[in-house]
Order: sequence, then structure tokens, then C-alpha cells
Amino acid sequence: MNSDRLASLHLLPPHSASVWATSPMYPVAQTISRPDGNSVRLELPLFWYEPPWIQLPREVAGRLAASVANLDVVVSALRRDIAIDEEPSELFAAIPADESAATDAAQRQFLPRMTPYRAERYGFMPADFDETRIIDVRLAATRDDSGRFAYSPDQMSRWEGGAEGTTIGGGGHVATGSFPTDVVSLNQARTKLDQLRLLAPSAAVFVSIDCYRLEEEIAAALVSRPDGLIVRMNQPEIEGIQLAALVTKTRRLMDEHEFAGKPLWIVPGEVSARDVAKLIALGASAVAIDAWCLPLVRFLLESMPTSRYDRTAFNQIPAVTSQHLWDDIDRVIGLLSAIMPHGSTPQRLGTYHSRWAKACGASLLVP
Amino acid sequence: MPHVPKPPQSAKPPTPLRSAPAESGSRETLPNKTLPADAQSAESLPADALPVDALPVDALPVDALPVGALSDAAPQLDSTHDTMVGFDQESVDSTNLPDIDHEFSMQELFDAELREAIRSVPLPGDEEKLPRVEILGADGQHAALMRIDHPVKLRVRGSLGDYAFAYNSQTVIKVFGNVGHGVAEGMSSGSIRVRGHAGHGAGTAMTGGTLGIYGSAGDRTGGAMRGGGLFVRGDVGNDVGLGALAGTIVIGGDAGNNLGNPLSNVAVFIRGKAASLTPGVTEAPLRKKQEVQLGLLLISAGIRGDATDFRRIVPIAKLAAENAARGEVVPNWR
Repeated sequence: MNSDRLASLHLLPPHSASVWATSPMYPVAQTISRPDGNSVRLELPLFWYEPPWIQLPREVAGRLAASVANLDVVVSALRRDIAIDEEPSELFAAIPADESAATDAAQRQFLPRMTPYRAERYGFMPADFDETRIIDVRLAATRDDSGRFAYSPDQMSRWEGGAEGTTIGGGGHVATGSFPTDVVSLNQARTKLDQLRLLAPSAAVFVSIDCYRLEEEIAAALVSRPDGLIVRMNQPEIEGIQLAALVTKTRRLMDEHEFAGKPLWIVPGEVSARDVAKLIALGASAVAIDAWCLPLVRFLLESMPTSRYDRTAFNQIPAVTSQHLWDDIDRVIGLLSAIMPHGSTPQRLGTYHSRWAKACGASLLVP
Repeated sequence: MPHVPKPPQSAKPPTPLRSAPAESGSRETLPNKTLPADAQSAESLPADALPVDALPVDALPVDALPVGALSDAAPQLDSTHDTMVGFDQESVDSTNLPDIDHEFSMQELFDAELREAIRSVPLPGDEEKLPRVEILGADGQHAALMRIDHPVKLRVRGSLGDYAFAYNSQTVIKVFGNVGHGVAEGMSSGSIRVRGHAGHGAGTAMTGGTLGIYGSAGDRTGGAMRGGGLFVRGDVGNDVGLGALAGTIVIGGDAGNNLGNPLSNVAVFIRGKAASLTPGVTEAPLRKKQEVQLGLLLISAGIRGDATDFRRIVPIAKLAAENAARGEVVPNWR
């Protein structure tokens, strides 16, 4: 589906001379611990970080979000991204239980979802805290499709314009914030993160940053003691070898800041299933698969019927999503089941190129 | 843009956040039921610095008296200026508390238990008369009393730390003390009145309801507001209304730098002076309709004062559009 950006790295099999043994199948599910002792379980190390919900009508966006999350991929969305206030999307609703199963509220299950907590909180509702798995505190400003550090008029209208989509702020772009207005410093941000843990008792609280000026950014972000770190490396200028080096360096810096063992989620841009496995072998805990999901958005835009009564395409979204994503997801599960969870990078990865070996610490293989 | 002189040094908002360092000894004697003690950073509002009587005298408004002095002080307040009368009219009986329906202590309940206790307060059939709940033991706890969506009247005795009352709705709250950063974040309805000072980012991202601060507030007050009303009787810091989209901000005293937001519909009214305005906004006198509107808002906030004392801070583009529309009604060629 995608280009292999880390093709120079090889996932190493066990030594041929080793004693014959049944290869274990390592699980891909992970559990994230919160400081209060609670934990958050995620079935897959995959997430959809920045879905372009604004390109799709709310109803279609909601169906697509639920369809992707139904494959155990964590999907990022606010309620107002994909539904109107009065009718929440399937992504936010409890999974229908079997009739034989208990209907106790405490046992209700929800689809895996992450909540972007932006500096400005435009579009954010208190209900966004409910049953989310991850709170993503975005400390760095993000660009829109036009390259601005701003939200488009359409985006603002969807978030704040109500069901009618009223124009906001004169109808122009609205600038993004780079730091929450109610946070005084990164030290004090620790209190903010604790507040979010109280507001979202079922979620782990992550902080997301850009990959530029990594040493400063990571040192700053980890002061607030998040439950995990998300690093955005999805700029198109970043080459494969740089991506591998950045992941390695990020993990090393996290270790140096006594953050070893905490989740590191990577937003890498275009990647293949093998790339995902290699990024995890390099130290990532989960990888964004936005590039895999964007063709679904394009497909829906092209196949959207002009008649609102034609529900054929809408009803097929779950099947199309599963058909499009499942092979890659299964490949990731398969590759990860062969990677030792606590192995070192040289044990897991090898390369025939000295530049790559130097960049990410993979074993240098002799051709 | 008109030149706005910088306010004198004394006009700067007081700095309750740095007024007194936390003393770990006394902190340990009081369990923090809201957040673990190690979660409190040095820049967060230290619990021991919070009581009004611990603040420097010159940092307080003249009528920001200690909680214990409320009942004695209220009759002596000068009613010719905006006073605490509005705030205190239901609270002069602070020592007798005859109408208290429920009483909870933050020292005895964990935050989740406290919120659950408040949510379970039964509502009377008469919707006009809300149940009164007294909250005791407030001692600088962070993230206290958040996300309460229940129509009750809360009175909080003491000061609270950062992010108090976040995402509340329906609840009518009075705080007899100070609050830390980010008070009433994301509040959607109801009202919160704070007798003391507030830290930075008061009313961040609020979407409705009324937040009244009877002392002073810090930087970025009303940041990213999306609705509702925010009243600060005293001074405010820098960047007030940063990223705000809608709502009303009323400042009874002076403001710091970068007041206003050129890309929003937020209505900013100020009685004192602003050190500087954000590029793209300007000062303008109130129109009659706005005077009436502001007068009603001041009354509802319990702030005495004449609406004509205030000026509004408005985006230049919005003012031009207003004038253009006004030209059709009041043609300027006459």
C-alpha cells in the first residue's frame, strides 16, 4: 500500500545455529499505567492521529471513525468533529452488548478513542472526556492544509457554529495557540495533567510535540510527567533514515530523563506495515497510520452519492474499511509477534548500510 | 489606534501566586484530598499562600477582607463605588448559616466522593429555591469541584488551587477566598463568584454562565472564551481575551498589555486603562444600547458602577462594519 521508507533495515530472525525451539508469539496488546494505579488497555499499537474529519459530512465521518476504531485502531476525534451535540456518533456510544451479557454500566465497552486537547479547546465539550482512552495534550501548534498555523473557517464553523454551521469570528482563519492559556509553565503543566486525569479517569494523559529541537522539547515535555509522549514526525521532508534516527534518539532521551518504559507514540507520515514493525523495534510503542486511512477518506469523497436517500455507500463503510485496512493490520500483528518485547535494537534490526547502522544502532551486517 | 498610557506600577494586578512560599510543615498536617502533594508544582498556587489574610495588605482590594471579618465588614462597605454588597447580600450570615441544607468537608472526602455527594443532593420541587450546600475545608486543593452539573448553591469557605470548577454547569457558586490558575475552565452555565483573586487563565474556554472575580485576575483572563460573561472587579494582566471567540469580558480596573482580540466577537469593556491593545483592536465609546446591556450585566454581577464609565475594546474591522451599517440608519450626510 505504501512505500517502504525503512527498507534498508531488516527485522532479524533468530540465529540459525540456535537450539531448535518453538518461536513464541508475542502479544501486541499493551497496557498503559496511570500514576493513580489505574491502567488503560489497548489492543493494537496503531492509531489515527489527525483525521481530516472536516472534509467529510459529520454523519459519514462518524461512521468511518467507528469503522476504523472497530478494528482496534485508536481514533482521534472530538464529538463535534463527527456529530452534532444532540446525536453522538457511534464512536462515542457503548458497544451493544449481547443479550446474555450483563448490562451493568461498569462493564460497558467503548471503541478505542483518543481526545485531542488543544491549547484553545475550540469545539471541546466536557463529554469528550468520557470513556476516552487517551487525552492528547497538544503543546505544539499545528498547521492546516494551507500551511497556516490556523483553523479554517469551515473547521471553526463545525466546532463552534452549532448544527447550522454559523460563521465564527467574522468568517476568517482563526490562529492556533501554541500553549494553553491556563498553564503558566511546563512545571505547572503537571497540575494540568493531573486535572485531566481526574476529568478523564479512564484515560492515559499524553503530551504531543514536534520532532524539531528534540532535546529541548522532550526535556520540557517530560517535566509535566505525562503518561506517554507523542512525537510528530510526519513532515514530508523527513527521510527514512532521519525517521529511524529520530525514533532512536527520542527513546534515548526519554531513557535519560527517567522516562524509560513509558509509551512513545510516533506520527511518521507515509509508512508500510513493515515500517510500523521496524519503528516499534526501534523503540516506538505505537505508530500512527494516517497514511493508510486517507485513501478511505478520498474514496468516500468520490463515492458519496448526490442523493441523501442513497445510503448504499454509507452502509458499506464498515466493510470497505475492514477490507482496506485489515491486511496491513494483520501484517503488523504478525511481524510484531516475532519481535522480542525487551530486546535491544541490534538484536531486533540489522542493516547493510553503515549510515543506517550509525543512525539508529542497528547491527551492521556483512553482505 | 489611539495611544493608551501604561498604567502606573500600582495598577498592576496583585500577584497572589508568589506572595508566600509554601511551607511544607503545615502542608503535611492537612491531607490534600484532591491531588497528591507531589503533583503540586512550585508555580501552582501554594495552599499556604492562599488565605486572604496571608496576602500582603497592599495586594488586596480595600474590601477584600478575611473571611472571618465578612459579617462585620459588609455593613461598612462604601456603596458609592462598586462594592462587595452584591456578593455578600446572601452571605452576611456567614457565621450563622441558617439556610444551609447540606455541609461537606473537603478534608474528609476525596474529590470524587465530594462531587458525588453534591450530585446526589436532592432538588426541591420549587425550581426557584436551589438547595444550599456549604463546602468546608478548602485549603488550596487543585482541580477541586470540577464537572458538577447540578443546580445547587455552593458556598466554599477558603481558597482553592488551580483549575477549580472546571467544566461546571448549572451550579451557583460563591468562593470566600482566592482561586488559582484556570478557574472555571470550560464552564457552560451557572455562575461562579470569587471574593478574592484569581490566577492566570481565568475563564479559559468557558462557553456560558457567569464568572465574577471580585479581586484581580492574572494574564490571559478569558483566553479562548466561547461564550458567557466574565467580570473582574479589579485589575487584569496581559493578553486578556487571547483567542476568545465570543462572550463578554468586563474589567473594572486596569489591564496589562495586548488587551483584546482582533478576530473575535467578544465584547470587552474596561473602566481603567490598558497598558496596550492588541494590534487590530481599538477603543470606542459605548453606544446607548451597549450602555443598557452593560448596566444590566453589572447589576447581575453585583458590581456597582455606571456603565458610562466604561469603554469598549473592539476589533477595528468590526467597528468599521458597525459604522457602515449605522450609516444606513443614521445617514452621515445630514
